[in-house]
Amino acid sequence: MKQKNNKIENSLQEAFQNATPDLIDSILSDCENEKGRIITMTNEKRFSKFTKWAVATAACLAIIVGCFAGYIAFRSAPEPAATPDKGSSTPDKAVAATVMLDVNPSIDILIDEDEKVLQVVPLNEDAERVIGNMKFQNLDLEQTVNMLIDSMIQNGYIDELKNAILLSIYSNDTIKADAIREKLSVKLQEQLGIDSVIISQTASSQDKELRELSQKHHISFGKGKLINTILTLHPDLSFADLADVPVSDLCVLFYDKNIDAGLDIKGSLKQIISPHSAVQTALDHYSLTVDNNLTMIMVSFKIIQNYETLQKQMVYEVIFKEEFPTEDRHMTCRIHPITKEVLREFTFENTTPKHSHYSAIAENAIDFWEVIKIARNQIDISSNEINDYSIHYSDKDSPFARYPEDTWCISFHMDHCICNFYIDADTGKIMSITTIDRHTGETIHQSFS
Amino acid sequence: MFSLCLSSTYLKTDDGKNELDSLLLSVARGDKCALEKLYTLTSAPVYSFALSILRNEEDAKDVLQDSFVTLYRQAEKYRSRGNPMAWILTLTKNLCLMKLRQRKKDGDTPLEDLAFTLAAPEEVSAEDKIVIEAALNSLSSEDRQIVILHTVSGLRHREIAKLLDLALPTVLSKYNRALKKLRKMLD
Repeated sequence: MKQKNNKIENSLQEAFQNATPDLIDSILSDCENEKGRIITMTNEKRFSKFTKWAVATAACLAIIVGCFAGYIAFRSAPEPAATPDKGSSTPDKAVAATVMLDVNPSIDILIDEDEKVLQVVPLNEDAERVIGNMKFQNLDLEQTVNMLIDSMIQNGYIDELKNAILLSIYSNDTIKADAIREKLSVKLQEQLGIDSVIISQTASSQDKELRELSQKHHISFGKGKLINTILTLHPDLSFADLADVPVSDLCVLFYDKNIDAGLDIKGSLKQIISPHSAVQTALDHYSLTVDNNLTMIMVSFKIIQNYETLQKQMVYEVIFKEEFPTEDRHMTCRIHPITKEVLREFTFENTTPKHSHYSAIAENAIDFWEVIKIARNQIDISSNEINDYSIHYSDKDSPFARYPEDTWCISFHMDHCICNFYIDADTGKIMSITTIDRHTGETIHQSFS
Repeated sequence: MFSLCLSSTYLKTDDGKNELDSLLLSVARGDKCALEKLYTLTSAPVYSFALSILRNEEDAKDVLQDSFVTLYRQAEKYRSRGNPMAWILTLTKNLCLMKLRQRKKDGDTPLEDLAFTLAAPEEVSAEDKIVIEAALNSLSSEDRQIVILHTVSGLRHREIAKLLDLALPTVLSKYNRALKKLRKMLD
């Protein structure tokens, strides 16, 4: 993403530079007519020559450095790596291509020139379950893929909700790889129906480091490559966070993110619900309204481990804090980011006598939704730009109060920045905004008197 | 071309800002050679910013000319603090607003309603024309200004927020949205 932005930025810069007319003679002539300002410069030409010389030298240096860097990059480029071989037998024939299938089970299929299967390699336990006792040697590639997908459906790895498959082809012959990718992705969609999502990609070489990392996490090189692309969009996540996440869940991480990276996507990616919608679902679940004694709402998009399936899954986690003079109640609700299903909820009640300050929301205080509206209007952002947010109430007597008024503090997390607002709970007036640029780390504080 | 690209990137650096600062002080003393150097370094940001507001090449050329003549006349009022490029662009912005007022007074058709076609000289490549026309036709006035101020003029987002009187998150958000839109169009 960052690279693509740089490309557009450079194109714009160059285009406008080239289109700028040279009016200096006319400007100098106009300035000549300015009263009392006629000063003839004698070193004009020398200065100009020096500038040209300096720029030419810089250009030469840049070219030399560029060539040197290119040479170094060429020398250190990894050789195409051998395909991981975890099977019991080693194929006699030469491997012409490796077809990688990732759902949550990850499988490598080694094929020869005639697209006959040499070996099917399970990369994780789920894949072993899918393969079972089936034998694939010398079968057609298409038939093998068909059998594996059927088995994934039977074993519950693919269903109406989890119906995204990542298909990656690795071969030195890029034309062949593209042809296999195109043929298989169409077949897969025929097999799974139009609601399925087939993400496909090809690779003609394998980065050694990424290959080893993928092996370590028991996923294909193709899934590792996809994860690396996703990490450029979500720098707060890690490779290990995403390795166990099924492809259907990974898809939501690049919905509407204009991901490219040589991916072909057949079918429509599922749209994730907004954090706002997740909060409303949680409120409905607890039969709460914002008029209750809620002093805090926090919603965040998380990757957690499902303790029943042991798989990683993505959820919205919504936390409410209800405050009473003598006790607090924290309610946590985990919601599926596509179906809105409440996956898990727990309530923690602190009934021991309160020692900390009790933040009573003033009767005339504006409510949560109004606070969100005020903040969003101020910065003119749409709800789908907000990844998650937190909002809490602080009364003026609180030991942590930042302002002499009762205040709503709201924090929006977006791709490019984190934005904190302090809003007068009585009047709705914005008192200050703090913005943290996520790319540069720069923090800007704006106060409004 | 290389030298021009180099100069635009150079403006973002401390060295670039210091050089602009000292050039402006020299211009204030009537040094035309410094004005010429200043033109080489800043004409593209000034012209493209004017074009982003006016969407008319002739008007943008007028503003480019007037900006440097005015700059020559008013350089003595310049006080070295912050980014000198922002000072030059404030001057350009005011001239553009005057031009827009004049246009309105003359009853001209609002150019926002018309598609922009670049009638640039031969040295502007077809590729450059596509990029400029995409930026000027597909983005709103505010988005155009934000994108050009950051990419061509090298202003930081917070400097743009100040110049256009917008909140910083708005600038960041609009910039990212606009770039995404352009990327989709140009891919």
